[in-house]
Amino acid sequence: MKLSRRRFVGSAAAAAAVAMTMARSTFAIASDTVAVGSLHDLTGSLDAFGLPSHMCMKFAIEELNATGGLLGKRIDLKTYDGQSDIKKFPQYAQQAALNDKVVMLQGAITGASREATRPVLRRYKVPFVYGTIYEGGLCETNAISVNTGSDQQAVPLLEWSFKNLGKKCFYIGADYNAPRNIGIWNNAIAKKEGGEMVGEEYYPLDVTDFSTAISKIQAAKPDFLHSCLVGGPHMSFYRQWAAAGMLKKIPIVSVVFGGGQEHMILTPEESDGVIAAYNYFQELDTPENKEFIKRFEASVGTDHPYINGIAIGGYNGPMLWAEAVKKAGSFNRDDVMAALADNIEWTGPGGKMILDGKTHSTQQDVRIIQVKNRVWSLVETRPQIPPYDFNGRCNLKDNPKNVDILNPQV
Amino acid sequence: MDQTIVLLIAVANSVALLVLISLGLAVIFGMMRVINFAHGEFIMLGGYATVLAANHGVNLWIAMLLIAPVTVGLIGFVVERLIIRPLYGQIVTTMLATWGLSIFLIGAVTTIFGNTMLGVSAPLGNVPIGVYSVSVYQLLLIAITAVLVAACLYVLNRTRWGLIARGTVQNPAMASAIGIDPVRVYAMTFMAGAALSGLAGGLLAPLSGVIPQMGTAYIADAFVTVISGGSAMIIGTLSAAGLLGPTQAILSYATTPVIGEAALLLLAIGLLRVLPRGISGLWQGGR
Amino acid sequence: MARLRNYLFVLPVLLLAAIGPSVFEMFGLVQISSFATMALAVLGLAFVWGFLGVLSLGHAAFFGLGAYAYAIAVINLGESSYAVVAAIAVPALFSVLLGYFLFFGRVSDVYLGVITLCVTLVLYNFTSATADPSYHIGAAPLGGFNGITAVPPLNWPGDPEAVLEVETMCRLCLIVLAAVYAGLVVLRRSSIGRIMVAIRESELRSELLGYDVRLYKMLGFTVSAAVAGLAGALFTAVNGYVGPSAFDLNQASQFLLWVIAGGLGSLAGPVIASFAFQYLSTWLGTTGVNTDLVFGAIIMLFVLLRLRERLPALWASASRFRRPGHRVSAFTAGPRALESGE
Repeated sequence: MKLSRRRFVGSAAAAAAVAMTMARSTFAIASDTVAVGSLHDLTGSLDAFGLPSHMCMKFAIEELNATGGLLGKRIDLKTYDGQSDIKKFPQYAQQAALNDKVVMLQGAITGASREATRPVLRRYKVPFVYGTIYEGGLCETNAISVNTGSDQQAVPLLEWSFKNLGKKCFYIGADYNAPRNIGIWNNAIAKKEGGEMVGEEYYPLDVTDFSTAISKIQAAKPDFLHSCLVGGPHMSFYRQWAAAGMLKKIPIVSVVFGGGQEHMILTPEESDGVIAAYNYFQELDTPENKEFIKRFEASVGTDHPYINGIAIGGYNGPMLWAEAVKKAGSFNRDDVMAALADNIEWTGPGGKMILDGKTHSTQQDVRIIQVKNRVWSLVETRPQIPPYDFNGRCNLKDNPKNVDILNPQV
Repeated sequence: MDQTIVLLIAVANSVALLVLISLGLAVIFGMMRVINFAHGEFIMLGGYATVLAANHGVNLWIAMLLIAPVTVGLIGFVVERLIIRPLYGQIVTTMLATWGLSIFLIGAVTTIFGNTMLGVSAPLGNVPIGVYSVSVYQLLLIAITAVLVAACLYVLNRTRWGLIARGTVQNPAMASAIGIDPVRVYAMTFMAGAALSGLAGGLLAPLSGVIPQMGTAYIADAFVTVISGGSAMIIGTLSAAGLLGPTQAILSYATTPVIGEAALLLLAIGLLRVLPRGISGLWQGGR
Repeated sequence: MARLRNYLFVLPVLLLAAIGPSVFEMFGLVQISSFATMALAVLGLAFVWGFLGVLSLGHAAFFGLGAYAYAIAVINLGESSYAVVAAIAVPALFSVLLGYFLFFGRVSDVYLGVITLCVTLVLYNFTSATADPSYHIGAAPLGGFNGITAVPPLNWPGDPEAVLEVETMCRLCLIVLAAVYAGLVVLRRSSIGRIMVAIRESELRSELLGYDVRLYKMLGFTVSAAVAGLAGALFTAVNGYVGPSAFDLNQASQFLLWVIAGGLGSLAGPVIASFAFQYLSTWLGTTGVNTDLVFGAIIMLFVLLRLRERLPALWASASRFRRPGHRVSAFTAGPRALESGE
């Protein structure tokens, strides 16, 4: 008891200490521009995720400014390169909040950088927009999550897989929080669909030699492989998997494949047939998306990284936030978050999106897609999957003070 | 039975990998006492050279076995001239300078080629072993590594070049007294080491994700293997890899990869404690 | 007079502590605090390496241990004062064990460095693998790759609710930096310090003179660990976060870079270098250039230029390699330099 009270008092005391600064800062907004921050990894091992997301965010700000800005003010985008160094995130968050006085900050791709950034933005009352796919569990008044949580991706994907590919699943993931949380869904959905998990393995992020992994999977003889391997070194797995002739034997499903441009780096012989699930993919054949891609390429040219389900969050984030701002009529954090109470609706390149006031997460379509020759195509659409509310534990209307990350209990 | 074969292959693979990624570093460290922290990036450059060549139609084998080592050897020549030579003898300063070089190279490759580039897949298909199937290329890699080690040993011990190199390392003053230019020898050695790293990168390209940061995954293990091996470049590295590789492979298989990697590091610590000059200290006595 | 001159560096630091909060805005103060804690950490390495000649490539291990110890202790105890003590004690204890292992085993120069590097890598691998919620010490989950977040800041001793404000924290970090600096200068000028310098100059001679080299090395090692641990605690208190990246290769290399850039054998130099490089790295991230490209180039230039200043003779003979008379000198110094203790 003393602990949580003290931690709360600690943050409150710090917040009170900076109240004066913030009061000063609100006056800074009374000019004709307003600052917004993009905090992504533009260099280092995570740049494959950070660069496209930042690009989309930059484009979103351009589009907002092209239609007259927000509340009559032009939006000034401040860019911070996290350099794939988690220590930089709290620093840049502080710089954004205190120095550059942003009214919103989006970024922090990995869970680690997200967790390092959130408390800082919360302390200085800067809304945090989280644009990337993740394992789910963010439930905080100061934050909004605009991309799919794992339940929104993993559940439809696993349901489809157990129905169409077979009953035995082997799970291989990167060894950190997100893949482990995503792994929790495996057992739940397996039980529901009458399937079974024949293996579950986690590999540190810098492993490049997967021969033992491949042997273990071969020994277990699954009907399909659920892969949550992430990053450059883990791409070796797909190479070695194909080299061992397994790509044609056991199908791979994933909620992260493609997010790190895997299908662009691997050859067709190594990636054909992999199935993923995202809200969005660049080849999506809808009028909204065709229009979006046209406008996007008019701005950045045709030689750009593939815009996958992670990167699109960079575009959706500012747009959804802008809707909230317009509804609230103000940039103030409390006003904006109050405007979410009756949900915010907006239609983007990925279809209709509903930002839910209870969970501060977004309901959206989820598409099961398959890659062939480095091009993705649609297999099945699951419309309007709502965000997981953790059995009622995530309810910011009743419990606005929650800041903990929730773990699924299935 | 099948499982044993597969496990043996995994162990051999682990040893071969350690040897392959460490060979270039071992040559440079053994000959020049230079710790080249850009070693991982030399591997990466070899990988990129291979992939770029293959993507432009060059035969994969030529790309891997010729273009990669030659390209990185040339880069090594430039690096030696500009960075290593001014810092001879300053082991830590060289480490730092090459660390800066490694960061710079990652940035340069990213700027020039972007951070995603289509790679090459492994040739030669796979061979079934009971319920398992193993990549033929992976098996070939083990063989190629063995040949490479044998070739290095031959060059070092049976050729005139090897003699000159070993002599210069033992006593540069004497070597120059008989007309050998130590600077030239060091430059050639560094180039050779760089070329070996490039070759490693090229050979690994069909089995790894070729991205600008790919070298960072290798540097720690290579470094540990080389130092544990001590100053007898080839045999030392071979012994160290022969000890550390199987430990890591078997423990990874039996438990988790984290324990496997931790075991490798702890074993290296233990090794260095017992044999302060690395495994080579066992038979080298003084030096 | 000579005595006072050694403490000169303390003055600007204290001056900054005094006027800083009036001059800098909130963010500037937070940044100074964070950078100062890193500078404090590198002081430990500058001491043990510069004065004692012990090359510890894994200095980050002590920094990280102190950071984690503080985070776990303050979350469990609710009071930060004991947590700071823990942050000093844990790395110090660890360094005693490691030091016994190393120095009493007569491991030296590069091999000692490598072992310490392996140690920090083992810690990195271990902390990265603790993502599962079952990995926790008391109320503090280790968090794996994500690390431990929302770590409470320092409070006034005895009153857990009275948290230090930003200005006070900044002053505290700077004062601690100045105090430790002064303390290390005192240590160097004491008889123990003089023996340590003698050991760096020639281990053999010191031993022949009757000093137990192993004990002195261990003492220096422990001092460096304690300083790094304290720095780790302060860093975590300022940033509210600690993760495995405190142990990684990048962090270890940064410490080495600051010492070399600042000058091996100096205390003030590495502190200044640490501030400079931290500011550089942070600033680069806001400019939009490829940070790797620029930062890597700067490191190389700095290391090369620095050496140029410091060892003109070596540079001169290296560039005149074609002339027979000079050829030998530069390279006899090569591998042999290692043996005589670099």
